[in-house]
Amino acid sequence: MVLASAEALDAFYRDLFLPLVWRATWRHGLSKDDARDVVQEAFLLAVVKMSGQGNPRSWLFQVVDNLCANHQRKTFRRARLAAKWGLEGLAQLDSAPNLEEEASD
Amino acid sequence: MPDPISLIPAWLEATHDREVPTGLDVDEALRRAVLLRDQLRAGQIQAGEFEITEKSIETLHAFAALLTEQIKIDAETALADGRLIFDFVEAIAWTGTPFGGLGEFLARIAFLCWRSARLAGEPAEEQRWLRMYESVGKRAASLEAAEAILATPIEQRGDRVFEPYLEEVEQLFSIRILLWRLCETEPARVRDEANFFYRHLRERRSPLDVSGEQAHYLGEFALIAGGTCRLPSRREEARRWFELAEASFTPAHNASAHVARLAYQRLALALEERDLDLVFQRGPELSDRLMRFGLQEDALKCRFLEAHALKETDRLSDAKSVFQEIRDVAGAQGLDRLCGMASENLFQIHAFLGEVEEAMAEARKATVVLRALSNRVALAKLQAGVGYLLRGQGRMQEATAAFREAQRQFSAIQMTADVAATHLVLADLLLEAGQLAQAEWEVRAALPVIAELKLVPEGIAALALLRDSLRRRQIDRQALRDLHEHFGDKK
Repeated sequence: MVLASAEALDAFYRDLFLPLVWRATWRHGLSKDDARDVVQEAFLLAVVKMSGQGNPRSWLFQVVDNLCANHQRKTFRRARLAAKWGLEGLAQLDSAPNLEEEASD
Repeated sequence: MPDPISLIPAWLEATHDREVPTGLDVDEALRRAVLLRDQLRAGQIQAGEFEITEKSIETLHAFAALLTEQIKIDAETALADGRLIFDFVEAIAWTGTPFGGLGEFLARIAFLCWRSARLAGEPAEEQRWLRMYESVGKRAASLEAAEAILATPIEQRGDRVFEPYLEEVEQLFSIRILLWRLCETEPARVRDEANFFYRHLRERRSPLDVSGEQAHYLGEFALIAGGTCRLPSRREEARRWFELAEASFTPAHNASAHVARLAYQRLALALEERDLDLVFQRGPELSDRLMRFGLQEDALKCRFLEAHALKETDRLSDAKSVFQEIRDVAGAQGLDRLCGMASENLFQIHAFLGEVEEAMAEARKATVVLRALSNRVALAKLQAGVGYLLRGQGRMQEATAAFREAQRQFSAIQMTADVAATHLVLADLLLEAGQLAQAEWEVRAALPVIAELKLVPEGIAALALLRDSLRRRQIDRQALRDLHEHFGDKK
């Protein structure tokens, strides 16, 4: 792991973290909290899956876009189910595993 | 400073047990964006007064989000606001890449202006913002992501995490730009890609978020696919794609300008099929129509077809004048591609007229432009043209070498009809040199391709005569030349 100075982490925050959060918020309509989670998840994926090939910056933007789209699909599906079944406790659905997505992963 | 990407593990380590600040509250950012919009409309703020800070940049992103919503309500107002914010931000001293960088934001605004112009029915503005996007967005994430998508083979695009992200229309917009750019350098690949994106869009369960946008992109990808089928002589396929493009464009906003672009592609197909009367009949009217839409480049391309038809009908002096006009106008407008292609044709005409020095001078000009544009199709045609010129000069060995190089280039871009045509020319040259066995080999290599592509309905008699002479192992040179004539290349 690269040891990072506070200055380097500040630059990381300014040049990578915030632009990705803004993309998730202003382009994809996520709340700030959801945007932060999505970006951190993208960083986790980067550690595990990013190869040395290609452009890492565009890879990250692409993954954030994909994660935002997945997030919106989940939100849409929850709203649809809630409307269909008259569910009030949507929070339960929030924490429930998504069987459809798990099956396709 | 280490590469930010290499800092990801350290970042995750440093932030795993704390909430990282995410900038302005959404409502506050929107409030600031509305204030900025009102100040811009009233001319009350100058770029010099705008300081680059975390908060001010987020305000710009909120502005873009406002613009996205405004487009759905009133595209003309959105276009006017888009112009204001673009000019304003372009003048800000925002260097380097802090907060995503200037290019990223300007590309977003250029895209939103393009979208507004399309919905507002302003094709010239649509074209202008498309070019602007290409110019400012060279390193924008959407274009980079589009490049990454196209670099992934189609069959490997199924992984859930890495699958192409096509929910956001700017991504499709970038892909469309890249495909048009690659049309002449990698036509076969672009055809497959356009087919992929057309099917992907058609099978979507939910429509794109702005009215008529899905139909527009379906039309655009069908037009790209048809245009690339036209090049390697897959004409029936091209016609089918053009029908799909028409069916898609028609219900979309601002359809008439795009239907006129489609009419240009159909006219180009007519030229390739040597239906020159149709080009003479419809070319001038279509060119005028495209000019009325403010689509100057497309109008010039239409003039290009007319010039080609003049060349094909041996009205070389008229053709030369039109090509010179196109070269000069295109050069003045920075339309390098058209300028290079006009030069390429001027080279051919000078060559036909025996104006060797002028021809070689024009070839050199054309080569510089075409290489810069990586226009492999035009470069291969130019190379073949040099072969014809050398042959006309009686420099047979050099001509043979030039044709072999042209054939290699045609083959590399899968222009099978031109590969076959070059086989016929080489056969003729080899007959001239008394190399009968090699000439026979060249003819045998060409015939299956000609038969498969059904290129020359009017040349069937020549084809039969040539086949018959081949069976007798005594090549009918006139039949060879007649058959080659039907490929549209002057000798």
